[in-house]
Amino acid sequence: MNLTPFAVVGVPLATGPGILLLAILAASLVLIWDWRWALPGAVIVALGLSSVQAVLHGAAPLVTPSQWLAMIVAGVLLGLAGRFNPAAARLHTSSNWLTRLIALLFVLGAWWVIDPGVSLPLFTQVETDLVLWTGLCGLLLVSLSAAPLHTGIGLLLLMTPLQAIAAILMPGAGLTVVAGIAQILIGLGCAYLTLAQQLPQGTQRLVAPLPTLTTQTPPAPSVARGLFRQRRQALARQTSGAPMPGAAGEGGREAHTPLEKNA
Amino acid sequence: MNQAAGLPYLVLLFGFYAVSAVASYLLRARGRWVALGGASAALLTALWVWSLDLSRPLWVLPTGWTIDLEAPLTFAGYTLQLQAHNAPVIAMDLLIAALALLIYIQHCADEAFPALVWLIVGGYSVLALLTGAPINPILVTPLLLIMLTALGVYVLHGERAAGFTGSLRALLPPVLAAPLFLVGGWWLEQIPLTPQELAITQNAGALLTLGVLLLLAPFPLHAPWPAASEESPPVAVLFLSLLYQLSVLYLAARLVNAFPFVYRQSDWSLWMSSLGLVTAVWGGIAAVGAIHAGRLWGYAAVHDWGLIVLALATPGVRSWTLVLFLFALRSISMTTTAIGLSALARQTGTLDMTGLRGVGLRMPWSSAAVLLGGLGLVGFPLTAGFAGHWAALQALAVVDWRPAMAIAAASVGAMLGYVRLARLMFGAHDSRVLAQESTLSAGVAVAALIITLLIATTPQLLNDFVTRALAAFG
Repeated sequence: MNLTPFAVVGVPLATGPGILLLAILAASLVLIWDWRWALPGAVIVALGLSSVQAVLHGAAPLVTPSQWLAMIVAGVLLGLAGRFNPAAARLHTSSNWLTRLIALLFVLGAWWVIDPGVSLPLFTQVETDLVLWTGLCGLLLVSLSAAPLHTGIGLLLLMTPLQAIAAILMPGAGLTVVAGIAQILIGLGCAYLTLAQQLPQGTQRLVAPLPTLTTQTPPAPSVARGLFRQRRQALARQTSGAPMPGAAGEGGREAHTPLEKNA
Repeated sequence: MNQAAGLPYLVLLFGFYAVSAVASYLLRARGRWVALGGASAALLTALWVWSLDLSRPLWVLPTGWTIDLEAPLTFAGYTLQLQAHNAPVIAMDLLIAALALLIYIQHCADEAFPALVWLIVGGYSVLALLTGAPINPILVTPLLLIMLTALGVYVLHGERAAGFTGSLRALLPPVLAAPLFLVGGWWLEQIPLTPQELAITQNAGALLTLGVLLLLAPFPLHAPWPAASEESPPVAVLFLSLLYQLSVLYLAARLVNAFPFVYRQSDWSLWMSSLGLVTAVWGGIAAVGAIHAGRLWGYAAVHDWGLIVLALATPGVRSWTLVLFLFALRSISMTTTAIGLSALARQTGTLDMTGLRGVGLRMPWSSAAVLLGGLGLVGFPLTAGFAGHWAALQALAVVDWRPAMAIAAASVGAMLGYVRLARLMFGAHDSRVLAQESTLSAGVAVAALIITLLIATTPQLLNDFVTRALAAFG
């Protein structure tokens, strides 16, 4: 069987351990939460799923590359937004890791207890479970987040089932391209919101000024030829607020740091 | 497929959209004039499309050129064509754009707004005109809705937007619904292969019903619009919510007309009636506790939307008439409120209820527009929405009086919210409020109030509109 380079990546993933690895990676995005882990992780999960389908279903040659392209472009857009405005990703942390773990376990438990028996046509049950699990992890990311960056990552993960279904159930309809455009537009919209996010005053980085060393130029020795001229110079200094000669210390060095002031 | 006998009309239409978008963006510094020109152009085009006679599809211009109204546009297997059933939807899309641009003239908050309006109206027109695709066009619609909702992010997050929860959450319903449409579409393709298999039609019906339900965004998916009403400029919320909801209603109508088994062999009626009822009740209850005039407007709109979803429970000519009547009244009430809220937000800088204390004495017309439009959304007597709500409750009470009572009680909750807002606005005067109503704001608000009262007293004025629109939905 001739495999495209995109499908070759999927060969090790289209096995039991490979699918389990993708599922664990999807769950880790919810647990670890940091966008620097979540974004590449979401992209890897989506690309992995796409490659798995290329192996198992023999998708048309252009389908997998277009899926990869859309996901990578959307991921890069979100990544750039996170890179340029990293504080925005930390602003709206809705929960801690324990809450997210409980939420994840609750979803797992509910799925196991209710067992809705969902099966997608043409998909094997393991594939169906992986697709649904990826979508659920995306939904959890969206639900637990109020930040555009994390919501964008969650929505990209939520688009993965749509991409999978469009490629396998409706081959030849060109829906992969339409879904890819939608994915890029979502990435672009969330990246825009991430960049447009205004930081509250408290979270802006405060930069303390460096202590400056100013050397006071000693006043030129004026030749006071008379009493009136000396008085006029003294009055002019007082009204302009300029320091009197010798006020900044003997060396002309001003005290800036608390240590210097105490000294 | 028809061969074009002349210049396709759709080329002119999309060329008009493109030119308008580019011109609006290039001349964005002159926002008020751009919006005025755009609103006039959109209104004229809406009237033109509304009055098109498609039984005579060829126009011969004095120059000898011929314009073919029904000539299709085809690209990569996707066909757009103007037909008798989608022309009213295009006209309504343009009318909503004209209203949004007219309201924008008052405050000109976001310079890119007019250009985005043209871009998004063009997208929604594509949605309505899509008549052919490699698969059934109905199944492609949710994917296009994802794109249009993603573009709506830029409109909702204008220069004055206080947050982004609404714009982010609005992406969720189409993203969730699209896979259901595709799987349902796969089952639809299996029906001709094994027509005797009942399970196939049931699967297709259940999935497509669930997809439509997600797109309708009833409770608990209702959150985006109240949140956006609080965070985003009212005109943006008005524009996007009306366009989105009109498209989803049109999609539901096309689906039910093309595949009647979808609601006959699924729990369509049960889901629509129960979730519509819950949405209407929740909208009323949540409005009682709202402390932001925008959010109060959003919850009143949710209440009204619940009633529309409820009316969809038994699709037929009667229910589509009611749905269209309710939607027309909703558009009038929401526009009236948006006019008032835009003026208040511009003058006071906030729509928090405490910040609006005493503003009614200084801006009486805009405040009256907020109150009368908002009360119209909950069917208060002597407002635009009263006739529609009364008709819907009567129709519902014939079947079962208890849901009708629940909705009436919930609407009282929303009314209480507006009574509280009215007390604050027209109550003790706050010396800090220095807002003054401009002549333009007062004029637009008075015009909206006159239209609202006219429709409230003579709702039969909408008969022709509903009858014509029914051609698209019924």
